[in-house]
Amino acid sequence: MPSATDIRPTRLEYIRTKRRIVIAKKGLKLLKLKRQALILEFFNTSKTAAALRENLQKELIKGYESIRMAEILAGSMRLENESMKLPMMGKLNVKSKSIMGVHIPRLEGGQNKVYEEYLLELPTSINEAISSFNKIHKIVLEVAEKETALRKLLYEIERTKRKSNAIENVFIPRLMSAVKFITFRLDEIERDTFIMLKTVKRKMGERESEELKEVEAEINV
Amino acid sequence: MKMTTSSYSSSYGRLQAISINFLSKDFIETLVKAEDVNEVSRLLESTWYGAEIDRAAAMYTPPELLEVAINRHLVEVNKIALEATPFSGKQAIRAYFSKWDIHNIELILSSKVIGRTITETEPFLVSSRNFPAGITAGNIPHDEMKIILSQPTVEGVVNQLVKYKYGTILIQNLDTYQKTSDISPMMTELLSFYYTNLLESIKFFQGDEGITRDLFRTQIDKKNILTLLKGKDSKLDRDLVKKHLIENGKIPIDKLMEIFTANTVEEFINRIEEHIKFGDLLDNYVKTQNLVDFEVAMDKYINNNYVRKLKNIALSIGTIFHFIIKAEFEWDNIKRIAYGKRYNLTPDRINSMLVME
Repeated sequence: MPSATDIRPTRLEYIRTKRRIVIAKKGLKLLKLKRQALILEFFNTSKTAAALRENLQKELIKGYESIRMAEILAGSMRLENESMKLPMMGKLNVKSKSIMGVHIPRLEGGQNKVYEEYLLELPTSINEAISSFNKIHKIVLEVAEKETALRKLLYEIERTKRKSNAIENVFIPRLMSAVKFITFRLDEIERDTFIMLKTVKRKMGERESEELKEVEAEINV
Repeated sequence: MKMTTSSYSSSYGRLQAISINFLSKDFIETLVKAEDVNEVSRLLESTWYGAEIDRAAAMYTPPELLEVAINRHLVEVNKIALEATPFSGKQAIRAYFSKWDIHNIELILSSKVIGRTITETEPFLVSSRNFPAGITAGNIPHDEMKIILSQPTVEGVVNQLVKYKYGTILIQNLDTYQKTSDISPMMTELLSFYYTNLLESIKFFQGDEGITRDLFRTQIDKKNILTLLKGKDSKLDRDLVKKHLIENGKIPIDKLMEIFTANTVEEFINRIEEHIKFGDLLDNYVKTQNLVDFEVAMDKYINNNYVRKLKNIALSIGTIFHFIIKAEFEWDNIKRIAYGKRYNLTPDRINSMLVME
């Protein structure tokens, strides 16, 4: 924290500081707007994430139920057989999108193109189980995407809040006190000058009256 | 009046004698009411599954123990049925058993494409997790299966299969596989070959093969209808679904594609009922809206309308198919009871999934 001795009490510094206060206030307003937008996005994303999580719970129950049914109807040997035939998952691509300057991951891929056609040739129970877990896989990716976004948004909200608090409670007050200090110092200088001028004027008056007295005395002599 | 002897009389007698081992309705009911899967296993020890349960008990615990035991038992029952078949009917029975070969070929080809390991023990193909993934109950002998499994590539497997007809079918689609790395066209062709070959092998030698042919044609219908339902459910393209339909069912493909234009699954089912009279078999499906229950309903329909009738054509290939299919239904029922018990399903729910004669 710069002390009062670091501030140059000049008119130029006064103008500069005043300008910095205006910019800081503008910045504070923008940060508050950004925080509001981030909070809004956070709530929207958290609503979507909560809905997805709820859906995931339901789908997981359905998925495990379908796996059980597949085991009951087709047997674990057929399940093993079909699981051996399942194509490997496609490559998962992680891209990113920006929300108010926050980079949020976007997951793409991870599925297999021939999947649906392949499902047609399977026993119904195994088909239902695979479709169900395929859906679960999609939802898990979406949940992962949304929850990472939430964490990043939360971090950014916290950061913006700290920034705006610092500007509002530390930076602007410090600039205001600098302005106050500069005004005070400038007033002091002005008063000093005024007093000095008064003294000089008084002394000059005294000197003039002494000189006048000396002249009068010489005349009288 | 002089009775003529049929070539099927000895097989009929032999299979009838073995048929007394099939589990009775009351026994199945006892299994359904059993406390848990261990009790199911204990109860089955006193039946014709006992020997296989004892053999597998060292390596597995119920319900896997039961599945391994009933799978081995099915392999044995299939062998007996093939041995009991007179020369004139062997081709048809072999054509029916080739479904196991097709399952195994599909498994081997997929494992070669994906790069998973697969090995072989006496009655099973064993996955990389050391768990049975396929029954070697078809027409390919064990030694030959070992040579096929040792092939490093899809092309090698296909070349080894040429002597079994399957290779000839697969070679026609090898180009597509080499271009796309997709084996599903090969598999669709193989399945289509299976049904064509099966229907061709069941010709009218004695004139009483009609019901057997109708049974397999209805099985084709079942496969086609389920394919359409899965396609409808997943909103797949009409042409793509059509590629997976198999000819020679009782309902022609054009008719099925016309039914496929239905807007909803409910409408689809209503239109199907014009061709297949399900009666109250679809009650469970209506409640759960689960395609699994529709499949069970189709199995029950096939059992009620065809399999039961086969029993009455005494000296015919139908008797042998009746024996084989009854063994398969029993195999399915025990699996369903064992896993139903593992997952604490109610007796009513287990019963709804059983196909009983």
